[in-house]
Amino acid sequence: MLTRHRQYLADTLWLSGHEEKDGRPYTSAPALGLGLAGALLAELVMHRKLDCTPRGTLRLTDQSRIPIHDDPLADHIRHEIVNELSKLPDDRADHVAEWLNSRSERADGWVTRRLVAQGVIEPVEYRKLFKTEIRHCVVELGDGAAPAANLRGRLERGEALKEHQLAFAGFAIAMGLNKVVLRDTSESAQRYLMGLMQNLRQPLRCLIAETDAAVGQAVLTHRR
Amino acid sequence: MSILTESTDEAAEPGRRKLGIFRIAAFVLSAAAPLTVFCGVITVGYATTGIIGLGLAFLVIGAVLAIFCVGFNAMSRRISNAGAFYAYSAQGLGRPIGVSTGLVAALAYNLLQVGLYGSFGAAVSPLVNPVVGANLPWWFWSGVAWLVIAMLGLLPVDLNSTILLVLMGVEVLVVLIFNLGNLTHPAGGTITFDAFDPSALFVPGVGALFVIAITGFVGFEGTAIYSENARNPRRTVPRSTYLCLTVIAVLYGLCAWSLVVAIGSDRVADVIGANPIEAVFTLAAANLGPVWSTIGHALFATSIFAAMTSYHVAVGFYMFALGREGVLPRFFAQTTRAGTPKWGSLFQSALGLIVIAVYAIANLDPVVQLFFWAGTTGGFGVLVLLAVTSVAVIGYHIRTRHENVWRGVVAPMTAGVLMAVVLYLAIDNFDTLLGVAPDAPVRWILPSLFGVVGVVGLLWALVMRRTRPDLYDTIGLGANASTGRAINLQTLVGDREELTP
Repeated sequence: MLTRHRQYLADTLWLSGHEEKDGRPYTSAPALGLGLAGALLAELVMHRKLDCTPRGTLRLTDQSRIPIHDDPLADHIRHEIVNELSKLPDDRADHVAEWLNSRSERADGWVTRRLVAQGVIEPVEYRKLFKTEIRHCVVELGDGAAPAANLRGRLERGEALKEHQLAFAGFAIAMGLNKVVLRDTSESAQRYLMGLMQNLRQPLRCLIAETDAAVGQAVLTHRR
Repeated sequence: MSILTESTDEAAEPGRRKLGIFRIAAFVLSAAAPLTVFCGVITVGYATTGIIGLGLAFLVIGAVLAIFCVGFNAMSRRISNAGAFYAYSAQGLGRPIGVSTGLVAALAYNLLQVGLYGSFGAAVSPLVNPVVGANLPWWFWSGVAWLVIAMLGLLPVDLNSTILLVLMGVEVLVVLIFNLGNLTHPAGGTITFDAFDPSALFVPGVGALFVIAITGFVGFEGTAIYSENARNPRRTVPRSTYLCLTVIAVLYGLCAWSLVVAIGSDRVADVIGANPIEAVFTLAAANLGPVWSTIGHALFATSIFAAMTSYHVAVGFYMFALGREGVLPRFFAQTTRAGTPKWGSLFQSALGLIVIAVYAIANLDPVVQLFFWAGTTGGFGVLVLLAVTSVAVIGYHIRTRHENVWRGVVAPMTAGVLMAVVLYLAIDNFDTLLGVAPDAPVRWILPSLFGVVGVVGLLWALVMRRTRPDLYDTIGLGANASTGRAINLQTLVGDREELTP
């Protein structure tokens, strides 16, 4: 079950972005939402259904409804995103920054529902003084930390990284999760990662850069 | 129903609602703290300078800033950066001057914040000590405020904008009532207007008045950050800026004038000088009744606290912005889990604690030597920023030709000349501003701080150009440094621009 979800970029970011024991996010809600929104777009880019130009515009490259994986919910979300993008008139490409800002508050919910549907996380009630809060925690301890641990191990050993792993690292840094995802990584491993990032395909680098800019902008405009 | 929309209301995304002129102006003015200016800045200004033309100075500076805003607003439509002055300087005059300006701004805003600790302690001490039955010094209460603000700066707590708005509204009401009390009880039985006589500005030391007036306007530039949420950014933001300037100029001009009317132009400096912080409340008690003095004292303390918190938050975010671009060490770009700038907040808190400790140990005056000196020196720093930005607007226009001649050249040039005159007068009259002898070292040390910091910024930029060209190239791009482009979210479609290398 976890192996398949390692392949969903947004899912691995969600898992790495929350504490395993109590589901508290490691970063702010805007950063999380923007990162997950960017990652959902990146999933489409990695499956050649979407392109992100250097000027930060989104361009559909394949609008067909062929399932990407045998996962109805994951495919449903991706197809809905494609549908939204396809509804834009030809002369008005959507811009990544606009898309991220308009979907950031919903992206967390989409990814959460996807993970719940697959049984990776489950809702847990936490009683506070005057209210009850529902957080989502991993069903099996270790599932949340595994993607980041795997990344760190590969970096320390100087192994090659797959595209989705590089994208995972890039989005994690953009979301401010570098202290979690790259915890205790040596300087040489971090330099190795920065070198590998240069080889990431341009559309993914563009998405990561736009996400980083959006997260910074969200902080500066006090979005909560 | 699409999974993408099933649990949300697409029409009402929080923070995305469209803001009108009055709403944006209210948000900006909510951090203005009018009682702090009335009971602290204006009164101490009269006490130290002895010049009665302060009310007119507010109107004059308001007019100058209105001209400045023509070019400033035009630039803010094209460049989205919370560190406005710094970004505009970088893109109009080059990155080295941009870095210089950024550090000057960081110093100016820090001074404005730490100065408030002096006034808070001085204001709260006589108010609360009788209640608690102890004779606690000003620095104790300043320390309490420091502790609360240091925590607020890191927690996911922002002084709710509605609370700030209500507080400001009540403050303005009380200020107007105090003014009414002053104007209905004029000294000598006659309302005079000599405070608005132009000759009141043609006196030695007038530069000090201009710095005091500028201090009252600090924050007006904050309208630019609401452009994303503005109903019509091209019109709403400029109009809300002019509205803020008008409200501030008229309100503070009225406050300054009413004091002269109530006390008398020939006695205002001496009477207020006896106890600047209490002057307004003493008048209120005499003209309106003791209960109004009590109300004023309470609101004064909350006003200062709100201002301290607002400045602390603003400084933290400013240093975050500079950290993201590498102008300050990169760790300033880290945030807490709540999304607040961690090291910007901690640095500002550490600075505040050091300042309180130094003033307490050295037994220095918290009102004049901390609140007024630090606050007006910070205001002087903002004056430097305004002057540089005026020139930067012209440089940006020459490079991009985005605006017409009025917005791109004439207005900013006029503002730049006026700012340069005010700047010269301010430096020349800094001793009058501080209330010290012309040869007192402090009258040169304080304004020189910005010169030193500016030179450090220039040198740092040159070092960055040599050692970190990747970071150097993104100076002034703000949150968009990672994309390497200067983008205003409101002009995305069909109006992007690249920062030329």
